[in-house]
Amino acid sequence: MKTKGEGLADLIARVALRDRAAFDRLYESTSSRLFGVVLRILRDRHDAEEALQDVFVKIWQNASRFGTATSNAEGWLVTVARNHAIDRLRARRGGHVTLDDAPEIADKAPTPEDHTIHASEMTQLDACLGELDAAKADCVRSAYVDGYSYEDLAARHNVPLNTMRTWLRRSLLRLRECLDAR
Amino acid sequence: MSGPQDMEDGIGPEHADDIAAAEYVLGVTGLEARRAAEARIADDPAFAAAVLAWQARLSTLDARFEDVAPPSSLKRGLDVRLFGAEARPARPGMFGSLAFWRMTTAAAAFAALVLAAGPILNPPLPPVAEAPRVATIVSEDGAAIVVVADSTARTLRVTASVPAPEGRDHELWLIAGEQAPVSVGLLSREGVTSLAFPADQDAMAALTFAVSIEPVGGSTTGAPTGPVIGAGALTKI
Repeated sequence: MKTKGEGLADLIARVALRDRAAFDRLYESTSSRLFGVVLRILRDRHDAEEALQDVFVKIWQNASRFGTATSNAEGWLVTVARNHAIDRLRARRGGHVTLDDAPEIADKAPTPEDHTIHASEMTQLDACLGELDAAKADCVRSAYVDGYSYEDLAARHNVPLNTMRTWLRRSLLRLRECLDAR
Repeated sequence: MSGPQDMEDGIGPEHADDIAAAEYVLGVTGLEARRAAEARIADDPAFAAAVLAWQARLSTLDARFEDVAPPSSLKRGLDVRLFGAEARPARPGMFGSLAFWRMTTAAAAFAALVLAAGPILNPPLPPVAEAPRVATIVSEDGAAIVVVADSTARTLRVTASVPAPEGRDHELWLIAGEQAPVSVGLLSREGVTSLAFPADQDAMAALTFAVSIEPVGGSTTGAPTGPVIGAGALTKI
């Protein structure tokens, strides 16, 4: 999908003008991407299907405001999907992931082979995460990708909630420092 | 839900806003804190900028999401939800037209206008229309009258399998709780009758509909005078 970045911005602009054919093409080219996002976070197919419909309703109705968030079309779509999935997850009873839930989707976290293949694609964020303790870097990644709350992270790492808050906040500040220096 | 202001962890208060922005982007807080952050995004440009900066810093993690194809039935449901049952494709060729480019210019101006309203990272869903409810009234001899109620639009669509006897009319009545029946209107002798909810009735309430056989033009007393065919409660489909 990355190669289609410009095409997506164009499609979103047309969707803003209520072009149904453009909406169909936008759905066709992004629904798998966005379903992957909401399913990863919600871990429940039925829930994720409803969430994906909601996400496209939001996209249809807010396409004209897309340019106000970012000029990165794919990034905006993923952000809308992620934010919606996280809201839905938090609105569930208890508000967070049940840790007994076996993740339905394999983690795309790097395997040793990935490291070889993608070494050249390693991002600045990966590099800066690499400067943190492995456990703390994992907290940042899994909060973002799996939708873990502070409570989930504390349980996963078996530390008190306040400790987790401190860990993550300090990690975030170190990340910012590292990234902004690059 | 504790916010960044309760930091007793050696992180200076000057970082509180930026931490709140990062926590919003990461999504680690509860709903209340998320709504509070979104309210700030809408009317605090510095905070909105901090959120966008964090979104940009972390967005390379988006590459970790793997594509999963949704079921093919999902798009149909989406179209019905957005465009109603008469889902028809948009006219092709529109984008070559002059009108389109005029509209595009107007849309660009509109986009510039809404720029001031803060970035839309998590737009709210529009209010969902109440699903229609249905009451089925079956007479002793098996005639059926179906009332479909749209509580949002406050409309009723009524279909009767048989018309009223010659020289008589079917009259529809609404019964709320223990209250006396209120006349809704007369049913046409054929086809679907469209009626409005009586103005002073709560369309969302638990309601029962009944049909009586009345003289042509309906009951003149404000209450059913003829035989009541039957009654049925409104239920969700």
